[in-house]
Amino acid sequence: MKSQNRRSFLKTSTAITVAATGLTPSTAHAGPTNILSPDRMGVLVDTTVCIGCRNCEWACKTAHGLETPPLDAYEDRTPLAKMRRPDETALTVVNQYENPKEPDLPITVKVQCMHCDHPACVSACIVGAIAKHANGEVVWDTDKCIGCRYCMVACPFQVPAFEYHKALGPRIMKCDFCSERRADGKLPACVESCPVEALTYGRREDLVRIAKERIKRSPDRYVEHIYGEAEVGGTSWCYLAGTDFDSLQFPKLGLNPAPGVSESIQHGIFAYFVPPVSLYALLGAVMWTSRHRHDEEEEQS
Amino acid sequence: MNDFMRPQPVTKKFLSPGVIVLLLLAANGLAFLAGRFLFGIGAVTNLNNQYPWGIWIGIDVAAGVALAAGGFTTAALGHVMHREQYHAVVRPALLTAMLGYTMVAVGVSIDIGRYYYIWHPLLMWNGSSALFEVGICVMIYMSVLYIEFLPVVTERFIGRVDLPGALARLNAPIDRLLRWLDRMLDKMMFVFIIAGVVLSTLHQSSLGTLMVIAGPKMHPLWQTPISPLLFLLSAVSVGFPMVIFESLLAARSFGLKPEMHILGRMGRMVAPLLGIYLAFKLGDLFIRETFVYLKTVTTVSVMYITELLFGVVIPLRMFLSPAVQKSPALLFTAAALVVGGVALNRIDTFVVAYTPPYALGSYFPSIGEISVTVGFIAILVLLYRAAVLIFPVISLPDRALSPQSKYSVRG
Amino acid sequence: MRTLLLIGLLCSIGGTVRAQARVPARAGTAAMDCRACHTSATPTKNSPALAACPRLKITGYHAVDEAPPTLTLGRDGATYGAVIFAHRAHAHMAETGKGCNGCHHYDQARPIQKCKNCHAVSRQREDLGKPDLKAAMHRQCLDCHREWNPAGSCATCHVKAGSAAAKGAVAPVAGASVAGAPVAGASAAGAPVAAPRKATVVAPQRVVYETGAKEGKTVTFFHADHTGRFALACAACHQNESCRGCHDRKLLSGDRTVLARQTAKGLTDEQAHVRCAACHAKDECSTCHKGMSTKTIGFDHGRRTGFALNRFHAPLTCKQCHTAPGAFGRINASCESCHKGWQAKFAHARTGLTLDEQHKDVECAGCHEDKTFRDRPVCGSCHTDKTWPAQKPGTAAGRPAVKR
Repeated sequence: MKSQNRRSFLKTSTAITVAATGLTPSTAHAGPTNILSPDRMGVLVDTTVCIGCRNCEWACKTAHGLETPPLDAYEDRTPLAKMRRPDETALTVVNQYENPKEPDLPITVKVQCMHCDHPACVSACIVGAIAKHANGEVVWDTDKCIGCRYCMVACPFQVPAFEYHKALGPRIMKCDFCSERRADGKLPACVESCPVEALTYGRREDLVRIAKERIKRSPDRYVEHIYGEAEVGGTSWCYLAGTDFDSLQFPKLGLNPAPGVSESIQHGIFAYFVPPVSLYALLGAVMWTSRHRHDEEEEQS
Repeated sequence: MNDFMRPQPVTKKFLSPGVIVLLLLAANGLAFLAGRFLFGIGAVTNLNNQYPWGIWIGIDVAAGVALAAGGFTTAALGHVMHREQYHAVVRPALLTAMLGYTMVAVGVSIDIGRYYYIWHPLLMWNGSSALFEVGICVMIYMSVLYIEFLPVVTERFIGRVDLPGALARLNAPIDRLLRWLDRMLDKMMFVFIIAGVVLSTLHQSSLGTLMVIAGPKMHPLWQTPISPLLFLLSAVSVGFPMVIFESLLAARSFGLKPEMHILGRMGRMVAPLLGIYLAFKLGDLFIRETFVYLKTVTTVSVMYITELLFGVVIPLRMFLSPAVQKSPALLFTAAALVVGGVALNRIDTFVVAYTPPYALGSYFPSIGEISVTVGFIAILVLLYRAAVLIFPVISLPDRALSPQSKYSVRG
Repeated sequence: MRTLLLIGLLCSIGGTVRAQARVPARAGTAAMDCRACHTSATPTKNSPALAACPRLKITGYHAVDEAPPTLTLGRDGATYGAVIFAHRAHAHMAETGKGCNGCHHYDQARPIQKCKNCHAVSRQREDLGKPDLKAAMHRQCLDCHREWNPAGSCATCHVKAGSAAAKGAVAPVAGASVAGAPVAGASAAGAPVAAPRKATVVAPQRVVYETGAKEGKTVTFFHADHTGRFALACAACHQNESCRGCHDRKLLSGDRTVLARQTAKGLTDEQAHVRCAACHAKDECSTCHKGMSTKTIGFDHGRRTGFALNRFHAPLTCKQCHTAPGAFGRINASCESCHKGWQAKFAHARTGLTLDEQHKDVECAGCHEDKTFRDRPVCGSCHTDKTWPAQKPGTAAGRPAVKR
């Protein structure tokens, strides 16, 4: 590197530093759609009302074009005996748990994407293929997704599923809150199909109020907890139950948004690109001085 | 230095019994890889909706990135701090890093479901995603590594471009291009060297941020907010041991005399780096009081202790000993322990520590996954061997030439 | 006619609603929505903001047999048809359960409202506080149906589209006949319903109760006699009971002639006897508790009532003192309440003291200041001047042996 003198070194360094700093404002805010509207919609799942008919499973599959047996096949209650999870073939499933109050009437709990208010998947997705919209839904964009499955790693509820057996175009499969149906002014398929309206669809704010009213009016019927009101910073889908949520296999999660720590670290490292640029400048300085010293040594010798 | 050392192509045959074994392993891996592309990831791997990431991410990507840290640490030492005595190991380290990152990129491509969208992160940004940061940094850094390696290519071919037949007319323009490149690179190289160090620092640490978002799914022993720092510190500590490891391995393989004077001195620098890493690791263990998980013998506690004891504590003690710094066998052992320890740490963080809340089973890599990973490592070694036979990478004694710095122009 | 109990009577009986949790939903006392009566969410004493009271429109009560026999609920869907609801049969069953009020909630005294007057037909609606029509109906039925038949399916009530029943064939209701008992609801038999159902209630011949008593531990209740010979309607004894009390799947499969029951723990004596006492108030304990003698019923009279039975009272039967019909209630503890005018013919010598001339004409209460005659008076309680003779008045005769 003899042909290069110190001045050109300095000049180029400065140019690069300025260029990097210039990039800052436009890039620091790059990210997916993540809107937390006060008017976001949600669903209140009252597990004390649910009868485990699994009509929601059928309606969901039908609405999403997934393979399903006819509705009357769902009268068979044997699948409830086994713990199931939403997967690429079923975006929602109903699980059954022992009822300490009424042994003959087991508790049934519908499971699907919770549509978090601060979704870990949205924060995690490498290309911003998952977005939280103003109407509460957390939806996945097939045109962006690269199939890295980081959303599945990030999700605290273990909801997103992946089509592992597709060689081309495998999809991330999860409840999309019936994005298309709702855009057409319809209810989510599961909510529409529920015979006992264990699923109440409405503005999340209203639902939380209704849930509180129900608990207040029937303190014997419910435990005093709305799951999803505060968990991981709140979820658009909330649950009421007559027994401890732990015994219904709801994950015990903190009240902080799931992406919180990760994002603060991330934004700490990249605070307006200051740390990387400073490091660059520092290393440049070190390089320059060490070379300077080296050159002087050479000149002296 | 008694002999003047100069990087030059090693004159050896490519094929050897070991190479044939590696070729077989590589072919086996590629066969399973074909299965992945024909029938999907599920056909070859044990991955499922509970365990979305397996050893392809844990070893191929996470451990791969960590073990390619030799590139940026030696670059920092040799070029940024301008310790010329280490220049002899810069090129092998650079080659390892370049090949390593290439394998990381390929490893990521095969693990993602839609490999043909691998370019998406370049256009679709998500600033809050640690994975995006890792991805973009790895992409840029890989380019930087290729640029850093370019002078080796120009050095090899300037004045020797000799295309056969009809292409012979292109000889002169290509030669001119190479010479121009060489001149340009000479002026600009420092930019890329510093960029390489910065980029490495960024994504080595962000790799540690990756699993932070998994929150309660992670075992507390590895789930720490200082995970990025620990990843960076371990990457810095594993850089020199990795160079020592591969230099000794290459020397053994090619029947060369190991450059113990450089490697021994490098080994001495490893101890304080490992010490800092150990201090932070233990501090984290005691401040978060996660040592309670070590009181019982479980898979996680055994893995953690192994990682810490054999990967950090024992090699730390070894590198402090002058005897180790002089003996190739002991130095190799110590370096291999660090390399293994850091690789184990990455596997622990990405695979062992991950427990989904609704696990219907546990994850163990399938034969397909192991075959592909082993195949990749075999290909990596083969490419390294091919590269040092073609390009002037390894420094060999050469009295005939006058002293030259790395970027000097030949011909 | 006992079976034709007025609705008003029934409606005063609350009930319980069962879903997964037992919830007290006694009509009238249930935590109902304030807005049912108040137009404001925050009524105050001075401005209660009362809605127009529906009770003003009372048109009169009607008998159960005047209830419509069947109703068509819902509409035909793709998989399941509408429900032909055997309304009158359910009304009869309701006599032993929650009454009409169980379904026609908040509506006890006014003309029966249509469900959809309150429950929105569309699920997309303003007021999410109460379930929509479909949910309200399903919940109403399922509250009981799931309780007595958890294995039931949609087809229990709905006709499956394409099935024989859906094509016009109707089967007679089998749900409202109780074997061995005349039930007014049987008149609903023959009403068309969706599908034949076998929810027949089998009444037991006998029920053997295991009671907590020390003696006469078991009480055998001859159920068949009561429903057959005495022609008692179910509702005469069974009221406010859960469906499962009669529709018990386990009963249908097991031995139905003799049921073993334990009397519920924690009941007071009065509560435990309330059903039988209406007719058996005048009977001895041993009528039902075979082999139970009054003395040893395990009832500590002194401790429980404060009136210990002395050697004269102990041999008596309960009924000799507790003469009022019904359960054994508290009676006046003074002697006079039973032993009317006893003082005039009381031979004081029986107490061991013959009264002399001076005392003979003194009022009893003159010496026995407490009216219970429990405490024995001494001279000093009347005579403060210590001028009484060395001898007590009268002669200390030997006490005659008390005849037992």
